[in-house]
Amino acid sequence: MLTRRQFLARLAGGCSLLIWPGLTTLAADASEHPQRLLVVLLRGAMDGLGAVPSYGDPRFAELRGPLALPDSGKNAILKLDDTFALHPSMAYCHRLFERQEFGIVHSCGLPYTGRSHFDAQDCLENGSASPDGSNTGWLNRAVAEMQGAKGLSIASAQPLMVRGDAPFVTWSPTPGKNGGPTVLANHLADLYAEDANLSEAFAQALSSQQIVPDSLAQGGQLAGAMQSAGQFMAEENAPRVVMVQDTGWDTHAQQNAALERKLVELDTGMKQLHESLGDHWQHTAVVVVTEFGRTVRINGTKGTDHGTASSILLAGGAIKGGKVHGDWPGLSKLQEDRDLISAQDMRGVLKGILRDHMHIDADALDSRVFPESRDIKAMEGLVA
Amino acid sequence: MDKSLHDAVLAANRFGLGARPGDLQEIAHDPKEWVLSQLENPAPPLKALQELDDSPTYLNRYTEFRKEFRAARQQAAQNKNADVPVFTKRFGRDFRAEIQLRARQQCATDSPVHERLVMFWSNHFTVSAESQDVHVVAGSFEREAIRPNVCNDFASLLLGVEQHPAMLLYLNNEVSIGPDSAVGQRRTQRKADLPSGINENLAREIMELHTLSVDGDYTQQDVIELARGLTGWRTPMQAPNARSTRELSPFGSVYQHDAHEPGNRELLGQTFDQEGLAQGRSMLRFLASQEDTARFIATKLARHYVADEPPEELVEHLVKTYQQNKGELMPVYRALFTHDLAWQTETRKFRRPDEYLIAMYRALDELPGGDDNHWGRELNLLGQTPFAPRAPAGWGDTARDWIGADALWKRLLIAQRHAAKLDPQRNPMELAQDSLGPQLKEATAVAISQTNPRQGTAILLASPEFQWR
Repeated sequence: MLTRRQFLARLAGGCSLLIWPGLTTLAADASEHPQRLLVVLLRGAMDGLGAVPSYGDPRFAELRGPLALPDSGKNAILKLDDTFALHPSMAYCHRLFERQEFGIVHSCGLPYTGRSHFDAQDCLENGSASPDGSNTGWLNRAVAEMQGAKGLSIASAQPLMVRGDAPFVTWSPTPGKNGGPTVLANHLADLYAEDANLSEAFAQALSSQQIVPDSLAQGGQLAGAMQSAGQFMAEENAPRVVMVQDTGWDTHAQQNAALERKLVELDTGMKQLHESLGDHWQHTAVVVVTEFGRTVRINGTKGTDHGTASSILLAGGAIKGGKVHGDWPGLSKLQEDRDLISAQDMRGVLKGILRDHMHIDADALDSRVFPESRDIKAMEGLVA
Repeated sequence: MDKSLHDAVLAANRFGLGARPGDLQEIAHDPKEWVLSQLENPAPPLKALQELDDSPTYLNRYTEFRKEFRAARQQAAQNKNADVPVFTKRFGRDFRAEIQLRARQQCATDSPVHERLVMFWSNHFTVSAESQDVHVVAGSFEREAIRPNVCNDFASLLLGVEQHPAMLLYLNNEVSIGPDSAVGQRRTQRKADLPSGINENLAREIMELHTLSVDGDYTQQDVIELARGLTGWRTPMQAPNARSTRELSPFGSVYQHDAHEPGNRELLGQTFDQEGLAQGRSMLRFLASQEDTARFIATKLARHYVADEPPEELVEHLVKTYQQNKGELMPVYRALFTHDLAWQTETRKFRRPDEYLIAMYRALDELPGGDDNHWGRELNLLGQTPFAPRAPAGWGDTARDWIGADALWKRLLIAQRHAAKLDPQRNPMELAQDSLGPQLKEATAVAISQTNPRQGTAILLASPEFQWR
């Protein structure tokens, strides 16, 4: 809790970025732990075979029909190797791949195998083996394992993934054109300083405004959120873990157009994140996850339906890119004759990043961050 | 300071939905009586809210929609031109009307104490409009199963809720089939591709979230037994032409005897040997009578109205009242609303986003208008998307659930926007006195008086004391 004096002193500090409550004591900590982690959750189920087509698989063209994009000419896929490519909208990610700063773990799934978005998202966010396995999130529990660390979520209300006892601040851009309540906030500063329950959250909100003011915040779209995330992560006393979420990946109809639009946002977001992170990019790992994949075949409305495995995308200077990680199950056999088979539990990928990049103890990962998950081995070789 | 005005503020803001201009003086005549009289004689809900479609109508339209949707998709698969109907185009307007008229009801009502009970129970028995079938009846569920029953006995409220199609669909009871029922046997013989067996979801949440609570004294076997007792509680969507169905509720749910698991049930050591529909109903009434249920309901009520950590003495008083009155809710409300511990200013509650928004409209004496879902967008911005709590536990009811940096900032934003639209002739100091009375702090009054009327109104609506009740 801030005292009134501390609170007002911080406000008076104006441009001082040491306003984050509690973070003043962490200044040294930030330089000792330069590693940053950004988790991007794509809600709605990104089509892994659309973002990262396995064009070299013998059955790919036949199974995907009009969703299989050309491998040369206009709107051609961006090849990664003899089997895999990136969607044509992901030119920036392709450049990062060539610099070994973008990678893929293909065919990742959850222990939950139903096809409800909400149950699957709950499972992915709570990090257990079932949708109601925990009411806190694995990313929060991961932060709890990092001594003195704080997280930030680009959201108005805490998503399940970051709910829990470890401190997570919220921030989201202000919609509309008429600007934010900065002037009003100044009128209220003294009043809020007197409210013991609200002063801390109020101070955090003001401090976030100094890093990404409402007037400069990008819209609510994914690219803007990723850019803002980079701005927060580049600060001297930055949150070490940030979460961004996005919706609109549920491409049941006209998938080619819908997925292109979404992947352009993601690709632009990656570029803006890279730029706003500046030198911190080299210590950053970005993990892009989605709740499940989509059917391999096209449906009656030129889209795909809820499936099983999808891809996890990795980016940042800290990851081992230029590579498609994991075992590729191929398309010769499909889950229930409709879905890409899950070859890798998503938690294994997340464990690999948390252990090798954020230096969380393997035992903590097996028992606390991902409860009762000793059988899921941390994936090796994801971090440079 | 005048005690009756103090009590009037508590009555209006803690037990009601926020004071409108003029309310406090009126309530001050007899604050307790003002609270209690609304329980006896609540004002009827807005006519427009009552005139919205009922659940059977919504569900019929949804069934039609599904038929058209499937046919169009089949046509499209054969590369024929097909107009695939779009769910949001078909049902979006109805949903927005449900949100908007409910908001209007909350902001306009002369019985805010009663309205607040509707909100409390609607959250206790939450459904979430994430899937299309629940989406179409989420609004009508509250109007049909909650609103008419909040001053009834708890067992009636519970039965009304669990028999409503919205709850059966939300918690998957519509697919729960007794394995030894006629339908279950046929499916086993045919090795049909349809799921055959009980689904425990509804039974589990009834025990964990609606009655005994997660701390209650029950086992997994009790959950299974309750689930068996509730087999056959479905909607006509799953059993369109079944011969053996009869009405389960007047709101579009059916009891299909051929899907009901035969035999006796054992629940918490008690045997239920009723046949068919009566069995599940008896089991629910039995759950309503348990002490665990009394304690859970008493705790939640006290937490909602009085404090995040409610005083033990108050909770025990409510438990006793519940038990002595066999689950009648009116005596429990009376016990709560007249208890000294409920009228202390030392305890206070942080307004949930919807409570905040309603209080703002009431303080300004305005009503949400139009049907462009302005209300839904503002609540979404504050982190409480209408009818979509995303978990069967409903919205959190403690300050910790709602005090976040961004959520607070968005409250400031919304306060500013509302003040900016206001008639500049209105006097913010009067608005402040009218809504907060003696709870208005000196420093806030000074801040309001030192600026222009619009900014002053924004300061009032965004002030810390306006965030609490």
